[in-house]
Amino acid sequence: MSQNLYTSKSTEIPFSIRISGIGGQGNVLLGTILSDALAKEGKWVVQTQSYGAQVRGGLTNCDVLFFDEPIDFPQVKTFDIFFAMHDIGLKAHFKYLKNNGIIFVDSSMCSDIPSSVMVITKKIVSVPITQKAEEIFGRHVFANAISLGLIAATTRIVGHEALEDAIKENVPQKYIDENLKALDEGYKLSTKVFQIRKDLKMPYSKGTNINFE
Amino acid sequence: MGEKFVVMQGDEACARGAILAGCRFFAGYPITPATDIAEVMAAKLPKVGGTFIQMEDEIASASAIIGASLAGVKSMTATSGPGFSLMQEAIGYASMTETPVVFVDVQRTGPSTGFPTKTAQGDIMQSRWGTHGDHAIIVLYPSTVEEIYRYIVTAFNFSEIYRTPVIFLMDETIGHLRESFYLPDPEEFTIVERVTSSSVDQNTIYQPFLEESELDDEIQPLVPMGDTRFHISGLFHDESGFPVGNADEASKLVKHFVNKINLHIDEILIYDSYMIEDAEYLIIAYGSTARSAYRALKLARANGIKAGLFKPITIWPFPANPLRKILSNINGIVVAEMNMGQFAREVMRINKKSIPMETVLREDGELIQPYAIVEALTRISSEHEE
Repeated sequence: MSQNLYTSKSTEIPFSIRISGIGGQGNVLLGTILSDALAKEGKWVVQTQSYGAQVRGGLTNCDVLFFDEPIDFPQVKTFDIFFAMHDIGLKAHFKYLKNNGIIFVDSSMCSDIPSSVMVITKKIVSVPITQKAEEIFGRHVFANAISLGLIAATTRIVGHEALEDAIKENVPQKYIDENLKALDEGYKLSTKVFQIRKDLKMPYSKGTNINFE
Repeated sequence: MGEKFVVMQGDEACARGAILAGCRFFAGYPITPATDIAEVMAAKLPKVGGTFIQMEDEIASASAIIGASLAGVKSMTATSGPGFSLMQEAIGYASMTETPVVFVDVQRTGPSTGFPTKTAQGDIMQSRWGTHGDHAIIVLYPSTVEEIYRYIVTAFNFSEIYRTPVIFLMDETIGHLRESFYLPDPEEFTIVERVTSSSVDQNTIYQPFLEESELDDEIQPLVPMGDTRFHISGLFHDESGFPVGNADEASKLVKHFVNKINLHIDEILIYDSYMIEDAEYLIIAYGSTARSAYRALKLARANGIKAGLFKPITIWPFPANPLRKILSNINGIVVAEMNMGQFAREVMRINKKSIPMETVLREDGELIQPYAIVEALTRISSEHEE
């Protein structure tokens, strides 16, 4: 019997990223490529989506959890990385960012970053990604591939090669080259490196639910 | 080929596993969160010589798969709660005609339209008693994407072996979840194939409903229509399939439906248990709730509570005997499920020694949090110590 979540003895809380936007921006595809790439590097991943009943528009979240051990419970309460692709997502979900977590904001799609974000973290990356996509490719659909590059270059959670492979598997044949170029543009936009948390232990304290996720 | 580390969605694993099991006909009607199963089937079935058809509704879908199966093709449909309600009559027809078919129900919050994109486990009783009349049924309910891939094959095998509709329950959480797992090698699966006319005696008339007695555990193999001729009816029928009006035949048939499952219960019951060797308290959970329960189990152990977890895959027939065996050494039970206590009632039924029991229930479309289960374990263990 190979390893699965019921063979895992770990009670550590997996790393997590929430990508929040509106339906049609491609945040689920972003999450799909990211989770495939992480799995290619041997990480255990769980990807979930939440959205409303409508086909297009409306707040959509794509959550990716990843860890060295299989992941049992597929939800977390707070995230190590939060990516706001749209103002609605930013305003509704920045509060789920972990203390000292990393927040990415597509500033061309969002209004000012709420001042309370600064209380949660100093690790803020604000780039006009959609605007860049329009400038370089003339189309905003490449914003999510640029975002991938930006995340990978800034957080170092996943390697370039794995991302390239995952893009090739998930993107229609004729758009692969442009998406790979967009990925590299994302890498170029990154100016800082922020580490995700190192402390994995979040022990259970009896009688409170603070440390549960 | 060996195992491959992959990332796959639950619905996709269900469709891929079904094709591996030999499913070559899918009829369905789109409904969140089961639509992805139909999407994958529509893309993949034609490539393996199968047929995908989108019917006008769920009633027609359920009827179409019964027809296809009688014609000799392993068949499946997939739906969610509202569509599953519409399929109930056809499930009875498949039971009465002893047609092997697989119904997938990816549960969402109900009743009625509810929350289309939120998770629930509200169809536990409907999967058992949804169709009218006495019948036995097999219901499997996996908890991970890997288990979906494995046990959809088992669902097809059971439906073939026992000539019965098998209901494959999932929930929105595991249906929409994409996760990494080691994809099992197709070589490691046993696939039960449909018999053909060559395997029956050509000199006698084929009788699809022949049984020696009501306690007979031999089940007559189903030969495809076309290979041979026989009659099918939802009325009580004799060995040949033609309607009969006498009470003895009716009684014999109903008892056969029930006995053919109950006499094979040991082969049908699939379950896993974790850390039960020295357990004093038992969590019972299935489907996506089992994942919360497994985390709760580890957290409880880390805090000195000797807990164990019982996770049934076969939820119907109810795993009464294995559970009774485990309960003989248990001081407290916690049942966690995303409904108002449908499975807990069954546990209560077999809890003859009145072991203290707590339920952790949720019906708002959100997952049960592990801490809720740990808290219930903490309560029940501190009460026991007093």
